[in-house]
Amino acid sequence: MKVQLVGVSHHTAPIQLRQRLAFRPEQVPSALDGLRDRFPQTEAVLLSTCNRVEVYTAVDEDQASPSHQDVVHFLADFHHVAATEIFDELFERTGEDAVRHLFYVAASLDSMVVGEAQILGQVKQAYVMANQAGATGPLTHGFFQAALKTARRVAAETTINQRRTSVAGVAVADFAKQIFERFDDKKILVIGAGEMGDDALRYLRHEGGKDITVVSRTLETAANLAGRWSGTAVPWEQLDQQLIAADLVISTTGASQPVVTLQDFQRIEPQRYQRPICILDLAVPRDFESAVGDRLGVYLYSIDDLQEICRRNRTAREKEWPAAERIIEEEATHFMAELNHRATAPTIRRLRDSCEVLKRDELQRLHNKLPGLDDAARQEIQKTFDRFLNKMLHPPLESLRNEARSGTSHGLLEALRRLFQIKD
Amino acid sequence: MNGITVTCFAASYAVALACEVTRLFFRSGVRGALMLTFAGAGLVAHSLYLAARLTSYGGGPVAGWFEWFLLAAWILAAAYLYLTFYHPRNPFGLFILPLVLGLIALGYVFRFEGAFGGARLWGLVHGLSLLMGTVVVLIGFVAGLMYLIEANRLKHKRPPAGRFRLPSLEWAEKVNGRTLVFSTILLGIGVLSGLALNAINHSQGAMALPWSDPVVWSSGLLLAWLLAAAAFNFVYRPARRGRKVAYLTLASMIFLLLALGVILLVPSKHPSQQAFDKDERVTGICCNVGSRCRDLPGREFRKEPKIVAVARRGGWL
Repeated sequence: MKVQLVGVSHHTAPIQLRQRLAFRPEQVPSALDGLRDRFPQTEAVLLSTCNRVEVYTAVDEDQASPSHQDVVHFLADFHHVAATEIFDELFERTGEDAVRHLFYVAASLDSMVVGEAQILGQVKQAYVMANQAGATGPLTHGFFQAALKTARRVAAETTINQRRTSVAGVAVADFAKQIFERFDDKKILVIGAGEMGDDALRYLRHEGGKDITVVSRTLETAANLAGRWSGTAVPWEQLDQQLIAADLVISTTGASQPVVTLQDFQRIEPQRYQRPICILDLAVPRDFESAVGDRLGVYLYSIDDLQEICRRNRTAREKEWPAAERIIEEEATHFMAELNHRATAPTIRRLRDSCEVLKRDELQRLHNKLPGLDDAARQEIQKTFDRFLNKMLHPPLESLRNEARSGTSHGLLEALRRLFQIKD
Repeated sequence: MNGITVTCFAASYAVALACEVTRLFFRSGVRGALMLTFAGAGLVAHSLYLAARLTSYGGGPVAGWFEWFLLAAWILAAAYLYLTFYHPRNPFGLFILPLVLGLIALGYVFRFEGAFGGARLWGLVHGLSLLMGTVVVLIGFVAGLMYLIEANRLKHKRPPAGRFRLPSLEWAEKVNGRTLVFSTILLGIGVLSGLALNAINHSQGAMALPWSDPVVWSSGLLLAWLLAAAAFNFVYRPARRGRKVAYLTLASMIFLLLALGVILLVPSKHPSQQAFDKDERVTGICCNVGSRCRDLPGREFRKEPKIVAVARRGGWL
């Protein structure tokens, strides 16, 4: 019984190589079919994300498992690259290491941003696609279900994936969402067309924001950004009117001086009637004078404020690492014990079967020699044989089970096979 | 329902509150279910207890202060269950359950204080609208408090505490605004129906309350405040926003406490303080409260000689 993983991740390979080896969702079924054609006894799951491409395989018989080289050739052939070019870039994990690796990946401890939530969905998706392609079996079912369970435990018992670590994520989830209950009826104003604004808009759109207005010194730039988000572009001269109407402002200009000073804001303030306004000033240097944040109903967050919270959140996540690792360790040990126990099952069954045959032959011989035995005597003799057999087999089988639990049953299993001449 | 006592549901709410407090210290997968179970069990026991009192004693849902406070606590507990079910991440219990327990405690303390007379229609409208108005003021107070705490965090740019996540400012503001309007309407109905009741009593030759009675002027003061707050809210647009509306609901709570304090503690001719003139009422209360009058520590009744005499006749002293 062998579980194996061959792949690349953001730890081991540059993005260019990861992109060359990545599988688009529509390619996965044919890739799995190709793998099964080459190794018919192999169960397989393909995990392909922007940060990793990993081929998980599992087989009952070790010798039927594809080698590292086999998987390299499979990947090279599928993506039409030279095997020699990628051979050294691919890492390999087998047995318990492969199990532990998948558990780390699913629980987002191996991610580029530790604790990010998408990876669990991606692992689940990879497993579902392999299932649909008929590439999974009892081993991969157990393996992936255990990984998903572990990831859920880590999410439930630690806060590792609760604190956001991106500026836009913190701005929207930790602040804007605590000011506004909903975004579909809010007026979102974007000042400038910086990249950070795009990120924040992605989060806001996800939360339901739809009334987006972009104001920029160049109307064309504003129109470009507004076009991407189905918003409206307005000329710079309308900034004051837009600020009066806005509920949420994202500011990302490249101006060297504040775009909105305290005096500017005080000028429009009476027309806002102290309606709450959330201002995400993501520009460097700042677009809003910090004194604007002291006004009633104004919640102003600069990039420095948000980055400081991101840093604190990253530290908080790191503090959760040992607890998450403990859960993974527990689950991996438990899973390996089950796997090893399962590996001993055929040998134990064969041993019991051969003993059963011996017992039946000896009983038959005894009955032939003592034909005058009544039924009660025969049953008593059979029970004695059964008890003897159970008592004799109990210590070696118990030792085998104990060894399996600790994960080192191979030697004992081999010894048992040779001592009792158990053939596969 | 003889087995159900005030302690049963008060203890259930207290356990639910303890569960809410643990939110501040650690995460748990079963806490939500535990909170709902205990609060739900408390509410069921509370309902059965109130129903049993209603059927055995009669006198309507607001027969006396004891029922009045217990019914107010029941409505608040139901509101807590509803909010916790639909917003399980927000610690509403930390704010609402102490009020529920406080109302139950007040009910217990004033359990021998006045009955509100018979179950006449105007009396019922008067009692129920004042009760509902009080509950709405309490809910407004909770929303106002939440608003101010969350606004303070957001203003000072502090990250949210993972285990203490309050509802959004918009939600709290909306609840604040609505409670201000509804409490004004309900307490207005309460005071006006009280005036109508007084006029009916007067026309029937019964004793009417004078304008100088503390119950009248304290209720009038509360209503005047709520009307002023609602008018301010209506005329001055910024008052409908943010902190101002939160402060208004907090001030309403202070006026409510003042009014309740005056009603309960200052001598008055209001029927709620005249009940002990009626022997049967005292007997009724003692019978229904739970037959433990004999074990009660000696407490000072407002009309002690008569009460003591009645209690002796009844064999409870």
